Amino acid sequence: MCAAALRSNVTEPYIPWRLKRGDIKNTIFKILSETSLIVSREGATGKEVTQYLSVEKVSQYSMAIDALVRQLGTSLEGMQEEILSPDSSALIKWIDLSAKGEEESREFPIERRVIGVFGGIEQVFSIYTDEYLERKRFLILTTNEKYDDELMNRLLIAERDIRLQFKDVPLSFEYIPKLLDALGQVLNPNVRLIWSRNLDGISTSSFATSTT
Amino acid sequence: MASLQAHLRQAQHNEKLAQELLTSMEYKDWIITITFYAAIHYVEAAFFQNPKVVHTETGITANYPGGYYGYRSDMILQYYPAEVDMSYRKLYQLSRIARYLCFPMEKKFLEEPVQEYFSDGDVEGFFQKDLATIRQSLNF
Repeated sequence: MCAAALRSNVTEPYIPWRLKRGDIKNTIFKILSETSLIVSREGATGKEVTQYLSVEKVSQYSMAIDALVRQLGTSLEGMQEEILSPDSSALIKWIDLSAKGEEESREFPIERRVIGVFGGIEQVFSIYTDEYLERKRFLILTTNEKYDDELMNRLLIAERDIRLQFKDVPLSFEYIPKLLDALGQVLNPNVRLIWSRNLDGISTSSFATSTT
Repeated sequence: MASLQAHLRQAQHNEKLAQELLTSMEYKDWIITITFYAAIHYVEAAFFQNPKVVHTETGITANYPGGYYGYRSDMILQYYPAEVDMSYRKLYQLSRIARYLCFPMEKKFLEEPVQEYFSDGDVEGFFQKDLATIRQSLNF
């Protein structure tokens, strides 16, 4: 009998975890996950930024952003196919990428490619990964409630392209449509979320550390 | 290890049963499952004819990533036409749903039976298009 493993509250903002690799990353994370929400909310009412953030905070965030943007320009040079614009998801992705150790570097290009390709399919809601039977496995959650052959063909083409690109790495893919009342979320602790599309269409992504 | 002819006969046997079940659409789950098993036997028969590929039962090494299914999938990707790879993987994915009513890792699925997840047209397509593609592309 299958045990429940779904979380039904999908409106809760997805927050990338394990971003604790230095002050600059923490600062940027705050900017992205907290301040941007305040800015968007308060900005809509016409307030100046210093009315809801202290001068010190504004200065701190500005310096952090400047530093990050300079490094980001260099880091993203070889990643233009996967990251088309330096939006918040690209920043978060870069933060994790830049902070990852060499020991996991082999997985980066694969996960970036999977996110880049599958994230472009509008019915794909979230992407998880784990290791299963010595294979790096990707779990692709989609929004369809009934079988959709056209979608399946698109997914299979994407999978084929990726497997051909990374022939030396054993990969497998599983496709899961919308289940019950939950959408695109898995609570199984053995899998790792690497990308999720929020309900408003904004994407976020995260590469976890080696603890999984 | 089964022979080439044994695999072919089993593939045809499974295909015939799937064809019969298609007339009523009462057992979509079994149509999908049997269609996939027919595809497996066509693929294994093709392995016999390819000097670069060893039969799954004898070619697979201990702890091969993904086991039999992983090996078969890798060989198809590497040595056979794209349409075989695509149709085979589709049938593989769907037969898992049909057999277990559950997705890997998710551990929770279908409160409604498979019969309602797949339309009649879907199931007919798996047999008429995907299995036929595999068989024809492998020259059987």
